[in-house]
Amino acid sequence: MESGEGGGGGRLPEELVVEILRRLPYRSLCRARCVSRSWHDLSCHPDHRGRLPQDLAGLLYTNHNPSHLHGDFSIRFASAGPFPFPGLGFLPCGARALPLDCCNGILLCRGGGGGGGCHYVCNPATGRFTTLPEPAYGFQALALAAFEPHGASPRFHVLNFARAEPVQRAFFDDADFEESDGDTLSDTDGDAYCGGELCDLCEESSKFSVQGLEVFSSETGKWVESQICRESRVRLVEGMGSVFINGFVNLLTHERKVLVVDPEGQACHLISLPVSSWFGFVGCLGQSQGFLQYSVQEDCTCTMMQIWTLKDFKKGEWILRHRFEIEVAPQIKILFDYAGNALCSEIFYVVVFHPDRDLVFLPVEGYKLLSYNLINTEVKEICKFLLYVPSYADLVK
Amino acid sequence: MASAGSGDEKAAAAAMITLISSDNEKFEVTEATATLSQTIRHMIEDGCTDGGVPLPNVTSKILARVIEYCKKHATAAAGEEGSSSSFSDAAFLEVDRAFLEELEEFDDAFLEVDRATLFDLILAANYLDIKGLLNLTCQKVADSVKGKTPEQIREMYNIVNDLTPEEEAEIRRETQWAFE
Repeated sequence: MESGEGGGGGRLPEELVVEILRRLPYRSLCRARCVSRSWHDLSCHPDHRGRLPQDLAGLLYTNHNPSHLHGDFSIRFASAGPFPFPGLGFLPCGARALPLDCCNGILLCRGGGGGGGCHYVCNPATGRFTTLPEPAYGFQALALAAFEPHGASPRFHVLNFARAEPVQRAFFDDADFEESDGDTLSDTDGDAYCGGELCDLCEESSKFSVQGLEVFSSETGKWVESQICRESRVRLVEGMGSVFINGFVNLLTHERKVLVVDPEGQACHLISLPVSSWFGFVGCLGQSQGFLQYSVQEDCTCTMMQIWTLKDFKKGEWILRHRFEIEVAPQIKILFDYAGNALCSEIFYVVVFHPDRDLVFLPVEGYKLLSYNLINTEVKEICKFLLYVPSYADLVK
Repeated sequence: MASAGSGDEKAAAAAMITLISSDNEKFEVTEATATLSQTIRHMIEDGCTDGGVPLPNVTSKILARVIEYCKKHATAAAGEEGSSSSFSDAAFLEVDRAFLEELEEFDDAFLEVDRATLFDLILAANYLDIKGLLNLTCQKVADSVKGKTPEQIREMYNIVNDLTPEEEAEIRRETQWAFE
């Protein structure tokens, strides 16, 4: 708009229209492409690709089956969009890096093979990486928060949660069970965890209570010890990855709470999970369309899944968004857990949330990945993994 | 929270900068306020602010708003620097938090303007290179676009649809799910 009052997209130079478009979630960007030719061209131009939100490319996951060929794990990529995964071959340890967490296109990896012990933060799309210095506690449970993903120079923080020795777990506590339904508490002084423990199907080794926190900032290049989380007495569900949303890093704990940490390491609090699931089902945390999501199965013999959305971050209010039954073979065995340790049992469902769509991914039977459309309940097979054993014999002519 | 940065303000009071809007109105501001603008910061560093800084792209109406923003956020920046030394002091963190909340409220109220003013603020923030203000104003526009249909966006911002119906249908088809 050229004529004074009103306000129109045409009045801003292209550079500033891109400034606005880059702040849209991907779904809104898709809609904005239809507004006019100039908006479409700007949002599709390769020059702006680095600054605009992108579509989900797929799921990166790690198999922990020991093999002679690949050592103790292998990384795979299940494509769910138009772009391939460029691989991690650019890292000093080659492709032998174990992805630990992923945030806004930035990946946190532990070096394998030649680079054993080294930790990297890298961008697979650009092939750039940073080697993290050793933190004072040594590398323990790590979470990644990447800011301004579409800015000129992405900044990031890495959170290193120091664990205590695993606490000896006792028994199921009824009071604790009831406490967590209905209204949720947002607990800053850390005594929300009242000591009642669940018999958990997960391995003892995958649990620990958080004793301290160190934060690495890409700007200072240093680890700084944070005073928060010291008395949190929560045990993180290890190897699940973290969810960075609303400016906070969210992690699942075994106390059926979400540990919410400011990536600067200046504040943390707990949000109770919405349901009391069956013994030990920690469920899965994710994000979709700007909200924290939580999925959990209803009970141990049931394939009914619940999907909850954190509607009010400040009050810790969840709403039940979907409830659905997965129609897959009854003997479901999930070998795949999308970030790390083998915490899955035969009846543990992993649900991965599509960041922009009403879609979840369900890895089933260890080699298949299904997508489930929460609106029209359509199930699609994303990919199937086939074992390939090379043969050096010639084909019959 | 005037107390948080008052010491710093006094120290910087000696260095005043005169900003001159496109309609020749003069604004006296402290250096701390003015240097939130990278453009003006560079001018000060180059020593070319004597006799005032002419800003031919910014009207007095918009410049007054921009200065209002800079004053508030310059105080915030001064407060932050002061707080880093007593980082672990719980009481101080509490004060800090209250101040941040107040700042957030200020920003929300600041953005309660008509669309023409909002665009003028974006243009001024870009010209003066005030990162925080550019972020704030662009985010405001982005938030207003979020969840809207292309028709609603066009209507809101008086944008003419120059795509042919076929082209538009084709673009929609590429990501049909985004329109559901």
